[in-house]
Amino acid sequence: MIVESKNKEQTIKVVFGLMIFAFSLALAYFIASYLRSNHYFDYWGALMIAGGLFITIGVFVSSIIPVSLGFLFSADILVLHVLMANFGDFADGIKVLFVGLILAILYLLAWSEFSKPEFEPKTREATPKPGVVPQPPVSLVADDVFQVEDPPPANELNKLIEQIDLTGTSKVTFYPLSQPAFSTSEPSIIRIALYTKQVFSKSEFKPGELAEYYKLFVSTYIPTLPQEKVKVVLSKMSEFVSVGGRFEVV
Amino acid sequence: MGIFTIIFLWPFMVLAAGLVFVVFGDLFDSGGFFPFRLFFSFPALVVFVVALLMIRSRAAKLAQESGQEVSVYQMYMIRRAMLIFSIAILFPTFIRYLVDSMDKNLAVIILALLLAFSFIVWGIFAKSHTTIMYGNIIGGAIALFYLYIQLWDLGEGPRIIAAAFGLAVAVAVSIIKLRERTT
Repeated sequence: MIVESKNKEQTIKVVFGLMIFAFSLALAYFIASYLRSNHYFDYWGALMIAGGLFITIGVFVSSIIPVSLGFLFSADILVLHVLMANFGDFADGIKVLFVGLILAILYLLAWSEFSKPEFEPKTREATPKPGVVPQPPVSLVADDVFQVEDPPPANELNKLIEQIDLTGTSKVTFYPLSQPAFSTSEPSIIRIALYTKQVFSKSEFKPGELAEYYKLFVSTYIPTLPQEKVKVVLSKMSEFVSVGGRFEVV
Repeated sequence: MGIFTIIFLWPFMVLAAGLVFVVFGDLFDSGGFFPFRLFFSFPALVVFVVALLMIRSRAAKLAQESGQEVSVYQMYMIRRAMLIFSIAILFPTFIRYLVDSMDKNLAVIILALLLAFSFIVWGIFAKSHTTIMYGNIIGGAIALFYLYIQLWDLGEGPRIIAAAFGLAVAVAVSIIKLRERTT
């Protein structure tokens, strides 16, 4: 039901975008033809002005993606048509500058957008074996440009931890060696503690014993707490991992 | 990705890819009754669209095998292919226009040669940026091919310069690459 309504919404967006694209393009060509036939204005100049106008409108309505993209793709067609007809008449210096500018922007895009590592296969195993440090699944998914409103999918580790039942528990207390104890009743932290206990089958650790596990965990788990709390938690946990100790869930 | 990037990414990439066909038409236009640009550009456009469709179906297969979300992976691969294609063709075009604008001056050709070799070397060493790697190597190779033809036409002195340059770069890159493999 949810998938169907999502598809329907996507279809409506595409349809409206196509309508705006078609009508804006038609309007530009009709106006340019009218101006040319009455000798009011140059045909190609009119198309370029229309293209510039559509780009401006596309920027201003960028919050409404189908409308913005409709105008911007329409501007693309106008600019490319003008270039196709007149590029040979440009001076070589202008051509160098124009092509150089486009190339520079392409390299910027390539550097920022595609410098992420290649896609890696998702790991299939979800249940960790007792006593074995799990390899958190590494999943790198590029964002899709038409799905900006959708939240990113939670990864496997978050899903595993969310499934842990907290019935009968109220808080977790950490007793780091030679450091004052600290506790929290934050459900996500309690779940993480229980998950750790499930993985290692114990809740008492030597100094540095959890270092590798902690590093993998932090690089994979998506925090659900606010940023300020995350900083405090990370600081306390890294201390606990480094000095060792035990924790208790009550 | 920011909203600004999302709004402009696809239209800009369509513009860049479209510019490739515009310059095809400009470079291969012989005028006359039947404009050659249409004769060359349109089939090239058809080939380009077919290639994108093939990439799309291949990406779907790879995504299913690796457990990725199919539509997201397809969009990623198409964007990447368009970017590589645009860079690979626009770079030698830029070189060609640069050389033409300076009336094929020897100094400019040598500068362009240096630029082309630099981009190829950058591409060889940009292992973590495969888009730049493919774009630079293919674009640089095409640019070098054009530049060597220009140098050949200029006489024996430029030919010697071209050969010496190529040799120096090949030796330098080989030493660096082979040293990486042996250490």
